Amino acid sequence: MATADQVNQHSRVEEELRESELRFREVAEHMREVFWMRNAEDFSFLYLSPVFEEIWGRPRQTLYNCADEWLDAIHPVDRQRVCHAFFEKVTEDEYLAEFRIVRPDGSIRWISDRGFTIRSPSGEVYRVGGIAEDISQRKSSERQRRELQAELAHMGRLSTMGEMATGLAHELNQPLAAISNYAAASVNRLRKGNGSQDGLIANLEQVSHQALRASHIIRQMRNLVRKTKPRHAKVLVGQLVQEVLDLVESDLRHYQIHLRLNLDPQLPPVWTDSIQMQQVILNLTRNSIEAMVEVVDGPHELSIAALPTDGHVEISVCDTGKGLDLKMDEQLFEPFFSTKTTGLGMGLSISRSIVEAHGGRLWGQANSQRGATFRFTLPIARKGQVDDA
Amino acid sequence: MTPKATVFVVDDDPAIRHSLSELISSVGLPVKTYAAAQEFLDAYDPEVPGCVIIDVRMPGMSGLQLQERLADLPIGIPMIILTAHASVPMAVGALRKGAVAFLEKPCNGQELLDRIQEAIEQDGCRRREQAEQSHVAAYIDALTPREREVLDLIVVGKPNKAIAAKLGISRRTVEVHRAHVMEKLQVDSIAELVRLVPLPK
Repeated sequence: MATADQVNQHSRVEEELRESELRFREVAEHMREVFWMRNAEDFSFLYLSPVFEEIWGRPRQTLYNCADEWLDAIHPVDRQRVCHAFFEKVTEDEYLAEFRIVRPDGSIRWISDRGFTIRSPSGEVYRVGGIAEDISQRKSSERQRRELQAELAHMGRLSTMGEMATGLAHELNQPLAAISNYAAASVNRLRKGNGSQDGLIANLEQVSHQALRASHIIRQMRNLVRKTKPRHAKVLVGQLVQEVLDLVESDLRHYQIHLRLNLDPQLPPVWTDSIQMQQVILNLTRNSIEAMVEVVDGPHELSIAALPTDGHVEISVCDTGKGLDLKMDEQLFEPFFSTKTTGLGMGLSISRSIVEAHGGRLWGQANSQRGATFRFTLPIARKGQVDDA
Repeated sequence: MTPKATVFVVDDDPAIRHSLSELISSVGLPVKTYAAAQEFLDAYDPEVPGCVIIDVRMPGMSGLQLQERLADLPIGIPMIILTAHASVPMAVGALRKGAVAFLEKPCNGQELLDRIQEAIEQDGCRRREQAEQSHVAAYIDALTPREREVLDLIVVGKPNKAIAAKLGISRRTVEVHRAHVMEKLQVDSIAELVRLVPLPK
């Protein structure tokens, strides 16, 4: 028989338990985030906080009845990725996913979901819990910012292409002139009957080779001028640099600028929008060329390097031009600041905004000898990162 | 024997050099190509007739600078200027400095060949004239002072009577001098004589 003391103690414990349960419920049920708990065996839902119904637009009961409903609510594009991440990682304390859900009315919400393990006294994982947050608003302002930034970048590219138009027209006219010459030569030889078959074939091969040369330049120009949504993908920096060099090659030749490339062939890919990154490299390269053209004597040397630093790839563009004035160090990156007589002064400010939007940094400094070096970093692509569609 | 007229091509783009060389040789003309203005200047032999095609935009000495250098030489070679990006002032400047043609790349192959043909003819014409003139100069040097005086008065259009009065000699003597002059200069008529001999200063 229990003594009165024992009964009292028992009811006090019960009281405390109720208190604690209430406090827990108050927290769980007033949080703006969804708190959830699932069985680690069959992943059936043990608890879902009420705000779930508000965010998901579904009754919690459907998930209690059938845990798979959770996956069904996820946007079809994200479903497989989230499914993998969850079942592979949640029992290892590493589950973290951002995904879209589709509500029954068809509207879409962005969710950030994080899970953790709960261990039994004997130490085995018997439950998993987590917190799911509606991040739709953050996502939409992120998207707006990205769109604005993309818009600005596009304007920058248009103005760069405008400034480069004369040189690019020259670059296009060269292969076109060669094609026209080869064709006229072949016609002459056929008319006069003084051409060997081999000679004519060689001419035609040159025609097609030069046509490809022209179309390559056009494609590069079109890529830069076209207005597209930024598309992130795993990209090799060396390739970006090469494609930019196609556009400035004639300037390098014309101004007799010696090019030194130091691109680490083992460089890991970066996760970036190729067009915007080419724009950054193009801006820096053109600045360097222009800085060197203003210096009449001395060596004209452009060095472009890409080397790994911790977690990043660092790309540097170094010239032997007129260098930088220390006082204008930071001014350089302000919009509409320019040391050149032509040009809008948007190049560096846009470049910096692009690099920072990619999670990198861009800075410039005067060289100890002559000229200046601009560097920027880009984060190395992570394993799980998928190319944008 | 004079060497055959040759077309010289100065362009830094290898595809342009090769395609022009192919175009020009397709009509049987000898062609020589150079990648830089200085390279051409170093190799240039004024004795070889022909014409030169010059690209405007080249590293180092530009096409227009090369044109100026060539225009300074005593025996000019006809120049055709080719450019991939032309402007009106550039064209005017090039033509004013003596280019025979200013063409934009890409240009019609036949048109270029026509201009080349004209340039070569112009060069040949000029070379013949120059050769003639150097002969004439030698002949004139062989005249006696009196014959030279008579010649100078003939080419400014003075009749024999006036020449005789001016030099204080008889008309008959003037006629003898005139016959000697025409014989020494190997001409048959006064018209020919006037065409060949530069006006006295």
